[in-house]
Order: sequence, then structure tokens, then C-alpha cells
Amino acid sequence: MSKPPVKVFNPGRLLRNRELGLSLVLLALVGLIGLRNPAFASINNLQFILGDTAIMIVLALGMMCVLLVGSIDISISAVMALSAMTAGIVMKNNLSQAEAQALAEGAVSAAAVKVSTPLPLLLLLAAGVGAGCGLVNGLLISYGRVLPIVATLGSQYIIYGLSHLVSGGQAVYRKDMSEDFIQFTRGSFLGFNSKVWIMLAAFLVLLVFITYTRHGRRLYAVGSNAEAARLSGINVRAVTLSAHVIMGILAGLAGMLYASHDNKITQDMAMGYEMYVIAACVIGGVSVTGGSGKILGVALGALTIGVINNGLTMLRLTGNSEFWKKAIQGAVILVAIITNVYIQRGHERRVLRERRL
Amino acid sequence: MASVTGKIPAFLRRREWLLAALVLLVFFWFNAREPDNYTFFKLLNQTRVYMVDVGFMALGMLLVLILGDIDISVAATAALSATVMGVAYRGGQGLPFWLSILLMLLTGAACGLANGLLVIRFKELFPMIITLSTQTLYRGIAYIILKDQSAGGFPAWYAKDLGYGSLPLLGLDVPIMLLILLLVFPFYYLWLHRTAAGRRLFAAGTNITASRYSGLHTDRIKLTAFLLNGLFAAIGGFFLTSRTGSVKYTIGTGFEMQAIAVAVLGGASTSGGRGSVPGLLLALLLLTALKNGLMLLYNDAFILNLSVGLLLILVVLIPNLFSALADRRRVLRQRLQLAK
Amino acid sequence: MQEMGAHPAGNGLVLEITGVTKIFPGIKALDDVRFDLRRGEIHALIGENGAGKSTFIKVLTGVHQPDSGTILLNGQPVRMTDPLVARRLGIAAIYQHLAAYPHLSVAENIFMGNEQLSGPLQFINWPGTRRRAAALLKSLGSGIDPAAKMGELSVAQQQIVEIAKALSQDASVLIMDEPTAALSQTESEELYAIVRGLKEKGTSVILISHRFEDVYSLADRVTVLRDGRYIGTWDIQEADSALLVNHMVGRSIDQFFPQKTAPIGEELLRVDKLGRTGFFSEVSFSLRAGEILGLTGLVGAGRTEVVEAICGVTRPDSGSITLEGKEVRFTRPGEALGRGLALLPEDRQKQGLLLPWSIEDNVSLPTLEACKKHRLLSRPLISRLGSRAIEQLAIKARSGLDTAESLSGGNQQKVVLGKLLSSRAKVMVMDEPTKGVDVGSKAAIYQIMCDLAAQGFGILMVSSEMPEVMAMCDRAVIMRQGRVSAILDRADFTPEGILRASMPVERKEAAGA
Repeated sequence: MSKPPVKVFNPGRLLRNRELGLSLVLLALVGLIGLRNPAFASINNLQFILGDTAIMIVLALGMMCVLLVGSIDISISAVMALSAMTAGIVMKNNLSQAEAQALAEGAVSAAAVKVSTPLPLLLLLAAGVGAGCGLVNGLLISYGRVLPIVATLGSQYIIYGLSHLVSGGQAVYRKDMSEDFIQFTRGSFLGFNSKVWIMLAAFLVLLVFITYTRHGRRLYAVGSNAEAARLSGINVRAVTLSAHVIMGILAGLAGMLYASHDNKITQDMAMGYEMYVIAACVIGGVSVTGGSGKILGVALGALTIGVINNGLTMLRLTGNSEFWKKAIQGAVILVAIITNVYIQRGHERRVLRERRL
Repeated sequence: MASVTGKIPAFLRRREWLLAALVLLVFFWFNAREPDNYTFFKLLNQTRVYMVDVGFMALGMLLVLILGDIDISVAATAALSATVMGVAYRGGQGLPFWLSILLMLLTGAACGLANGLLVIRFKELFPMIITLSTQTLYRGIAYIILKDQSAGGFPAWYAKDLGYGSLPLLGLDVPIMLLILLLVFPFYYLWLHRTAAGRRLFAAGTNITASRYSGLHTDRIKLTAFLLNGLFAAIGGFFLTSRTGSVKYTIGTGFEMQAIAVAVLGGASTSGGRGSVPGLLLALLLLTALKNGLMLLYNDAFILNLSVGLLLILVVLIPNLFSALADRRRVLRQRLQLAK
Repeated sequence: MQEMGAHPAGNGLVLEITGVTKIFPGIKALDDVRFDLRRGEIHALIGENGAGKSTFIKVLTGVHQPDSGTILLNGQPVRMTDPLVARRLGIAAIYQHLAAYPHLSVAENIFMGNEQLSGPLQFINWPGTRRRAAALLKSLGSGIDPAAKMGELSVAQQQIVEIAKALSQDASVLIMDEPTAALSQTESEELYAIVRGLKEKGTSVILISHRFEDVYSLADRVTVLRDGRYIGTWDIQEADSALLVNHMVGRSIDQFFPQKTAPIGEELLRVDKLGRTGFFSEVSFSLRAGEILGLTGLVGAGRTEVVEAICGVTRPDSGSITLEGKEVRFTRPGEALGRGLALLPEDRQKQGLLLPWSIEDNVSLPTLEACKKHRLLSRPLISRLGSRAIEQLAIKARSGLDTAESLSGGNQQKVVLGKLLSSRAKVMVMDEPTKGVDVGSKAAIYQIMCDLAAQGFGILMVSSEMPEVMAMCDRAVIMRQGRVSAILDRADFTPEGILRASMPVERKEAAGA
């Protein structure tokens, strides 16, 4: 009868496994850069890279959901800014009260204890703001039928504008932050920065979501064949909306991580960060047209970007490599998506050749 | 639903009246708030700040939108082109100014050409993601070239006569760069709406497959559109620099959004096949009046960008809602007929 | 003909559908349609393209909601507000254009929407899913690996997965839309066996198929739809194919076709061992002036692909094309058109017309350069092209300014023809020229074809309709699975012969065929 696709151990097939290939590339990069500058490959530095990349991974997890359904979101840096700024302003305002209260109760110096709104509440607030932004984006895209790039291009500037309004033109500095908040990303556990643990938590939650829940699999279905999904009774619009909300929540969380790490919240923070995140997803094998992508690949892609970024600084190749980062980002994404196209075409040609003629 | 080019059909005609009415509305609204600063004469002068650079970019963007594609990299193209001009001229120490300008134009065309080649060679990818990456790349190259510095020192006439010069016309002081822009419009209109080439552009945007089957060289049409878009972006950058007097790698940020907003407000649709030059002009006027008023009231770039972002979304959203409503009404009407 | 009247519940009718109407903006897809399905029967639903069959299925599966009418399932009225409701009620459909997720695995495709959950958190049970999928596939006699990516399977394999999907939903009503379209003879026989097996288990099947072979092998009764309307239902024994075709088409087929009297002249087009990897290979035939050459075979045989390669839409990988004695190599349709080779594409709405544009704008598109005056387009010149096309082809429209989408299918096809004729073609390649076209326009198109042949055109016509091929063509090239299986002269046309040459064979059988 019909010939089933053969399942045989084929080393060529293993190499074609994207995640494996990416890991090898990553190791090679670390090795090569480490050769030029041994400090790069030190445990310390590698841990630093991991901590640094943690924020990107959190965002890339969200971006993956959005890309899976065939959409895109370039407003994530704005969402980060707005969420962090909102939480920051709340924290700043409540800080003063706490300080004043502490002084009134006879504390020796106000600087001794900087207490404000509890951190979990602030995180919730940031996540909420992020979710709200994601909701608006999602509504525009799935119900308003606005092109995702146009919707998020516009909302990017709107959200940055809101961040500006919320901030009242002021930034939130270290002195305005509660001790909890400052220490949030300082702490270590088992040698790894707390950012890494938070990232791991998010990673695991998303992993379970995308692999083991019905709703998670629907993201793939909608991106793979929206018409078929509709015929199956899947509410394509709701699924797309949910992807954007997930992105928003993660962006809100990432914004807080970023702000805590930076000890500073400005109205235009994180500008341009979305390109890193998209690059991470694309390198990690997420299809920009939707329907495929592995969560491990996304993490590896983000790590690759982190290694390249850090490596560039460490190598001091061209005076100050800061300036090359942007161009390299753009080039990397281009190369990655074009490579994907060639791989896909090669694959299709192979399938055609195997047809019985 | 008619969207033919040679004659402007009823629907679009309505839109142009609407735009004209909105321009007047916005003008009088801001005029009431700031009667001294927001007058017709002051506005005319301010068109050099708000209208000419975006205007050229919008003209280029219109071509791409008519195709049903999108190009996010126009602002970056403008920045890179202007950077090339500034660095080539090097305040008078480098190449002659006319050559620097030529290089600028070539850069813009090259950026557009690169976009176009990528779009036609990799049809599996959307122009959206391609131009998103080239945007980063182009601006990145500008950053590499210029770093955090600014390139200036242009010939005096550039800033004085072009950037801030005006011609007395009919008792008004009309900015020279505005005149140049307005002069372009009639030729552009003729080319787009009344020549075979323009017609083919609309065809490709309406149904690229059918156009190809009908014998049109759709790859060449796309390539040309993106190339011209890059060129127009460079020209926009040229005028932008003329009034700021210097170039930084960050110039033009947010302008891609404004260019899209103006073109779409003027009658283009992100799905392609539609577009109107008169509409674009009116939309440009509207945006200018709006930006000027906002800056007067708030003097805040964030507020400005916020408003333009809002405008862009509304401009795309509202027609979608209307057409969804129209479809529903149509079906209901047919159902009613059935019931009879 | 069967009498359809109201029956009390418990009459053995699984489905009873009356008065169903469905309107889309601008078109009435279903008009007061009725249908009934007995328990355990296989009921064929036939009709031409555009008759309303696929809308009907979508109404039955809850994708569309009818604007009026009732659906009784086992005597109870049901309202299927969405596909999930239909599925829960036991109605499953296998669509013609497969509704599959190419990026996902076979097992996941089978259970999408019907996921196998387990554990307190109701997570997806992947091992269980794969196991059940393997079991389902095995019950259909297939060894497809449940972990394989759907997009890597052949069309026939994907079809089997779709059936497994329907099985997994314990459907009591199974709707199959052109299930054997891409299957070989053996695979079709196996499918028949599966369907008969389902019937024995009590599943009721609605079978939609163009292949009368399917209908006569499987169906107990057959219903005809035409232009969205219910025409009639017959027991399969009472209905011979001529009767069915008659009702599908609306009038007797003999009065249909004009006489073709054109003399055959020089060779215009020759195709030598043309091939395109994965689609067709070793295709050779020639076309002469005044000749109407048919290119027939089943869906998936590669006919459209051959034609697209000849006309420059795609590029062949091997072989040569000779036009009027000169070898040609086209990279885009525009080049072919310039040399006199015109293609009337299969999908006139997506490939042939700019729907929002007017007739005259559509017709003038390939020849805009000729409509210029002082470097600008001249509206009068364009209008003239439009009116000429309307006149020559008898297009029913108020004027050249009517939009293409306002026209009926037949008139739309005429506009596409008009467009091609305005560009001085010598060879006309027509891909399914009368698909979805009303009866009156069909006759007109046939007449036009004969006139063109008389003028010295060479016409290559791709067609799936046997009567059309047999009546219109001087010769017929029959394709099967990407190769030419026979080239018959008109004198040797027989329906059985053509059919046999069209039916796919297994590779091992080919040697003995």
C-alpha cells in the first residue's frame, strides 16, 4: 500500500536537527572567541552572559508565541518601558511615604530602610500593564484586521508616548527604588543570578504550555493552517489574541527585570530591543510565517545573540564595537531568514524528487 | 468596490472631500487654541518642518503600498543616504557638494534596490520582515559611519536658501522646499494615474498572479517600486537635513510611520491596489496641520509620535470596520429579500 | 425519482434537511436545498463546480450557518453554531482541499481539537495520542508513522490520515469530498473497502465525487445539485450516467456542441520530452493550426503543470518547447504572450481577472502600450478594446465599465478570453475553460473555440469533462501520474478507453498494463 516515511537512524538527519546544529555553533563560537580572549570563556563571564541573556529569553518566549500564530509584535520594548515605568512611579510615590513614615517614627536615617509597595504587587502591576498592551495589540490585529506590522508600529509609538506621560518627564533612579526592587536581580542561588531562575521558571511554564496543553498546540495549528483551524472549530481570532496577551505579560515582566538590572527606569528605555528578540527567534528556527518553532531553539538563539554581543565587546575588534551591534543585528536576521528559505527550498526539492514518476 | 486608477471613483472622491474638511477642522481648532501662533502664514512657514521631508517619503511609500507591500526601512534609508552625503562632503573638505548629493541619491536607490531584490528573490518571505531587518541594517551602517557624531558644515545656501528660504508668491512667503514638493505632485499624479506604467503598478497590487498571467513583468514592477521608494526616501532625508543643518544617524526616527499614515490616509490600503495622489496631498496637509498644532501646544516629540501612531491605527482600522459592517448589511438585505 | 415528504421521527433517517438557503455577499450559494440520509446508506451528492456542494458540506459541519431551513438529526432539530457542535453530534467531514496542518505530526493532525488528555492537569498525553493514531492507521491498513510531519506525506497518504481523523471522532455521519481525486486504482479500491466497512458498522456516508466510478461502486442513492438548487434524488439502479449528466448540466448534451469544421494546418507548437521534477516527465505532443487538442486525465495527473510550464508560468527542468519552428524558453508568461502563446488559466478569479476592475480595464491590461496617446493612457482607446471584446464574445454586461466581479462565471471567462484575444495570440491554451460556467455561456465558449480554430488558431484545451473532450477535440492527450499515457485520435475516442488511460496504476502494475 502506501509507503510510510522510513524511520531509520540517519546521521545526516541528526545533523539536520536544528537545535543540535545550533548548539554546536554556539560551542564553536564560545571556543573561537575564547581562544582570542580567554577571559571570555571564563565561568564568570559565561554566567554573566547567561544572566544578561535571561531577559532576552523571557521576551523571546513571548515573541515565539506571536510568531507561531503568524503575527508579529515590534512594540515589545515600548511595553517593557511602560510597564516598568508604571510600576516604578508607583514604587517611587509609595517610597516617599514609607520614608516619611519611617522618619516620623524615629528612624535614625531614612536611607536605612527603603520600603515601598511589595515587589510581588509591583510585578503584578507590570504584568497587568503588559497584558493590557498585548490585549490592545491583539484586538487590533485579530478583530480589527489591522496588519500586525502596522498595528504594532503604531502602538509602539503610542505606548512609548504613554510611558512618557506616566513618567511626567522624570526618570526613576536608584534612589527612588525600594531595596527589594534593587536586590531583585542581584541575588544568586546556586551560583546563578536570580534572573536566570526567573527565566527558567518562565521557560518551563511556556514549555509545558506549548507542548502539553490544548491551547498551546492551537498556536501551532493557527499558524500552520488558519483555514483548517477554523474548520476544526478553533477560534482563530481568540488564539491570536491570546498570543499577544502572553507576549504582553512577558514583556511586562521583562521590563521589570531590565529596570531592576539597570537600576534605572527612563521613558524610552529598551528602545530597539525588539530586534534582538526577533533575531533570537529567527535564529532559533521559529518560522516568521507561522506554524513552527521549538522553544529550545528560541533559547539557543537568544544565547547565540548574547554570546555574539558579549563576544564583540570582549574582542574589541573595531575600536568600540558598540557601533557595529545594530548593523550586525540587521545582517544576522537577514542571513538567518534567507538561510531558512534556502533550507526550505532544498527540502521541497527533495520531496519533489522523491515523488513517484 | 471600484478602485480604478484613470478615473477617481465615487468612494475616493468622498474621501478627498472628507480630508479637506478635516484639514479645515484641525486648522480652526488649533487656531482657536493658539490664535497668535497658529495662523495660516505661520503654518505655511512651518511646512518646511513638518511637511516636505515626510511628503517625499510618503510619495515613495505610496508606490509600495499600492503593490500591497510595505517598507519599514524608509526612515533608515533616509538617514543612511543623508549620512553618506554628510560624510562625503565632510564640511567642505571632501567631495564637491553636487557629488555628495549624487552619492546620497545613489545610496537611497541602492537601499531601495536591495530591498526590492530581496523581495522578489525570496517570495516566501514577507516584505515586512525583510524591510524590518534592512531597516536595522541601514541604520546600523549609518551608525558605524557616523557613530554618535553629527556631520554638518554644509554650504550656506543649503540651509539658508533651501532650508529656510522662501519665495514671495502672491503676497505670501512660500518656502522654497514646499514649492519643490508641490511641483513634483502634478507630474507624479500624471505618471501614477494616467500612464501605462502606473496602471501596471495598480494591476500588480490588485492581483499579482493575474497580472503576471496577463503578461506584466511583475518582478520588474516590484523592483522599480522599491527602488523609487528608496530614492524618494533619500530625497526626503535631503530636505530634512537642509533645515536641521546637520546629520546624525538617528534622523528621521518615526518617519516611516508618518509616511505610511499619510499614504493610507490619502487612500492607499495595506492590501494593495488602491492609492490616490490628490488624497495623499490632502492627507499630508492634514498631518502637517496636526503636527504643527500639537508641537505648539505640547512641544513634545513623544506626544507627537503618540498622536501619529494613533492616527495610523485609526486610519487603517476604521475602513476595516466599515467594510465588515457593509458586508453584514449586504447579507441582511439579501436575507430580507429572501423572506419576502 | 424519489418523493420527498415529511416523515415522522424514527423513520430510519439520520439526516433530514429541508429548505436550506445560504447567502454570501452577492451570491446565493444554496437555494432551498433539501436532502435526506438514511442510516447506514452511502448517498452520493453530485453536481458541477459551483453547484453548491462545498457550501452544503460547510453548512452540515457547522462552518456556515444557514440563513433559513431546518436540519433534523435523528429526528431532532439541530443548530450547528460551530464545527465543534457538529463534531459532538457525530458529523465529520473530509475536505477536498485537505484541511491539514503541514507543520504538525500525523498524530497531532488526527487529534487536533479532539486531544487525548490525561492526568489531573489535563495535559496532552503524547504517548497515548501516538498509540491511538497508530492503531487507527493500522485499522485502515496503513503503516504511516504517526510522528511523521504531515507536510512530508503524499496527497494519498494525507487523505488516509484525514479518514483516520474522522474515525477518531466516532462519526455517525461521514462526509467525503472527492476522496479518490488523487488516488491510484489500487488505492481507490482500498478506500472503497474502508468505506463499505464503515457502512457495515452503521456509519452513514455522504459521498461527493466527480468520478462516476466512485458513485456507481459505492452509492445507494444519488442526489443532484445544480446552481445551488436541489434537482432530484434517485436510487442508483434507476440512474444511468446519461440521466445524471443531463440533470447536472440542465439539458441534453448532444445539442450542446457546435460542429467543428476547421481545416488542420501547420504545426504550431511542439513539446518534446518536457519534464518538471516532481510534477511531470517525458511529455511530448504537438499542436497544429486549426486543431483543438485535448489534454485530459484525472485531477493531479499534471495537466495544469504541463500547461503552466509551456506558457512560462513555471520553468521546466528538462525537454524543449518549439513554437512555430523555433525553440523557445520562457521565464515568465509575458514572454510567452509576446510570442503568441496565450494561457486561459484554471482559476479565472485568482489568475485570470482583476475582479475590482472594469471589463475594459481587464481586457486592455496586456496591451496597455497600444492604448496610449501622447504618452498618456487614452480612455477612448481602452473603451474601444472593451466594447470590441463585449461585442465579439457576446458578454452580458451593461457596458465596458461594469466590474469583472459583477459578472457571472461564464461572462467572466469571456472577459479573460477577450483579454487574451486582444494580444494577438496564435496558440490558445485553455485550462478548464468551462469549469463553473453556466450552460448558455458554455455553448458560447465552445462556439468561440470553433471560430478560433477556423481562423487558424491552435487550441490546447485541458479538461476533466469527458463529453467536452470527446465532442470538441480532434485529438486527445491523456495524462496519468505525470506522464502521457496515450494520444488518441478523434476516431478512437471512447469513454472507457479514455478513462482507462487516465486511471493511475501502481508502479509494479505498469509493466504489465
